[in-house]
Amino acid sequence: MRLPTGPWDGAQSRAFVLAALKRNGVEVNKLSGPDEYELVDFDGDPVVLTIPNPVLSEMIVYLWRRFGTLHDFLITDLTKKH
Amino acid sequence: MEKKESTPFLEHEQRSSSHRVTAQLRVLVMPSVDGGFVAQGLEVDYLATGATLDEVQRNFANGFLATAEAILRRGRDLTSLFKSSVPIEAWQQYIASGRKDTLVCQTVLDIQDRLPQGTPFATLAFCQPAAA
Repeated sequence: MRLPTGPWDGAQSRAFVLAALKRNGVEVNKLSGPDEYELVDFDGDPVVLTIPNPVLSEMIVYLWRRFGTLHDFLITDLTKKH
Repeated sequence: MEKKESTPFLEHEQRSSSHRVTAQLRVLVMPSVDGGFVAQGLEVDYLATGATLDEVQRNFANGFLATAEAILRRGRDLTSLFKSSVPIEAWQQYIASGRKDTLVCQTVLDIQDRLPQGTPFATLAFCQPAAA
């Protein structure tokens, strides 16, 4: 069993998560606010989110819930393999 | 039984290119397992994170309204806010908690303008976060 290692445990780097979303067809637009992004799905429907680095695990789950089914990817696609 | 007037959780009025969106959402605010805080909308599946309580509340309010504005600017329908469903665990945690956080917000948007107008939210009535 792997033990938790600290506040980053479970969180993912923002660059990795955004790259994974783009790879799966989500349009990612950086907005003017700090850490503010517009994510647009296949249908053209946007969500504006503040995504600080690192991306907390609750946000990872939300991103998968919002885009995973429509874009046909797994939650594990948003997490780095160790 | 007397019928009480209540604010609908999401209202959209349109006059020409001008839109008024009013929302009254219940929000579950809780500590994140990774540190910081998480705010999860209950009527609408929208989520924000932040390092502090103030930050997560601000991120939720601003982000939710920015999402509504982005949807309207793209000529899409606000029903896209319901493309994902709130997990039942969030409702369970909200019902079990002693505190009932509510976000009341309103934005007025003229889609002919490039920038949104006005104050992003009128009232912000979050409570202290529930224990993990």
